This record gives sequence, structure tokens and C-alpha cells, in this order.
Amino acid sequence: MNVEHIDDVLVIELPARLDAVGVSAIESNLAKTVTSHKGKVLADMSQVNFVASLALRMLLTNLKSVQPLGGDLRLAGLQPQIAEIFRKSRFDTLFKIYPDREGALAAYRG
Amino acid sequence: MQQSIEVHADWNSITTLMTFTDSVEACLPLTADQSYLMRLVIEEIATNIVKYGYTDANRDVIQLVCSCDQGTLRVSIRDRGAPFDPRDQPDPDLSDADPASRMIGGLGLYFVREFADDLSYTHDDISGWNELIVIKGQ
Repeated sequence: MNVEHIDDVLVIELPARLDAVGVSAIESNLAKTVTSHKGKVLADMSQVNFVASLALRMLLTNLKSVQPLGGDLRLAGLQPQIAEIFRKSRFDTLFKIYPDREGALAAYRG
Repeated sequence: MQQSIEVHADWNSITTLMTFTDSVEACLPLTADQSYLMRLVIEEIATNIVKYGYTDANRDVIQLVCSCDQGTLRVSIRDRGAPFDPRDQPDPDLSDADPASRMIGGLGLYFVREFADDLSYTHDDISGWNELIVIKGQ
């Protein structure tokens, strides 16, 4: 899991496989990173080619932990199959989702 | 051509099954949607079996067989835990757009039902075996 700061946005690049194994590998580190930042977070999902319900639960948990602190967790770069999972579960109504990292960063700046 | 594996149904088996899906993908001529569904089935159904199907008192095996015949993927997943028909489960409530109150139980089975072309389930009272068969065409 790569993490970088771009201005005041914490950008986290999520790994390709967010299956049960992939989630357990990053879950606690992600939660710590997101809650200690307390601000604008962007999950770059352009490398992600698999998510299942556990991964959605992890993302929602992080969104719920950062929003009361005045922050947000936004998503960018969903591959078509991942976007379909978000549509079917209507998680696309819970998160602000952008086609790519640049678009998400521009929206945060605006 | 088919690929099969049998694992003891504990948490370690999920890692083994995920590795197994890599070899299935390498061997069977699956479309991207079929591969995705196969991973969903294995992740969501096997996790359910480990978590709810068995208890520590009766923990036994999960048997998985994946095949692709004339372009159609068939995944069979068998266990001897509590009978559970994924077709009977209600769809989750997806209408809540507030992250704070959104419930997410039942999403895994919902994905499997949504992405599969057909699901069939049998429970054999005498042997105790459950079998879920998931089908997806090209």
C-alpha cells in the first residue's frame, strides 16, 4: 500500500487484489493512516482488479471514521468491473468517485 | 477440463483457495467476467462456510471444483456444515445513501446471485453434504 501526500490530500494507492487476503494485509494499517490524517483522503483504485464485500466494508468503515473528523474519503480510477460492483451495491451513492487521480485532486482543490 | 481442491474449512483455507483461483485462471479459458465471478463465489461462499457453516465442534472440509465446458464456467462448492441455501436469502437494503447508517450485511451473496447466470443448491440429509453450483456463460 503506497501512501503519499499531495498538498493537503493523503493519496493511498490500493493493491490489486482486495480479496479476504488482500484486505487483511492492509486493513489495520489503512485505518491507522486514515484516522491519523483526519482530513482529505483519496484512495487511488486504478490498480485494483478485484473487490468483494469485505473490501466494501473496509472502505465504508474508513469513510465513517474520517467524516466525523471533518475529512472525507474519495475514490478514483475504478476499473469497469469494480465500478459495476459499486453500482450494483449502490456504494456509488456513498462515495464521491472520480475517473482518475487528477480529477479527484482537482475536485478537492476546488 | 476441471480443477479441484479440498481444504480443511478454517481461516487458513481462504488463503489456499485464493491461491488456487490463480491456477484455475491460468488453466481454464475464462472471460474476465467469469474469472471475477469465480473469485466472488470462492471468497463469499467459502468465507460463509468457515464462519457460519461449521462450528469448531464439527469443522470439516470444503471441496471446490471449477470447470469450463464450451465456454461455460461451472463452480461447485461442497461442505458438510449447516444447510444454507444462498438463493433463499433476501436482497440487502441498498437504498440508504447515508454512510453513517448504511447496513452492508448480505452484500456478498447478493453479488454472487447478481453476477451468476444460474445457482443451484442441494442438501443431502443422509450424507450431510451441501452443494452449491454456480454457472456463468461467456
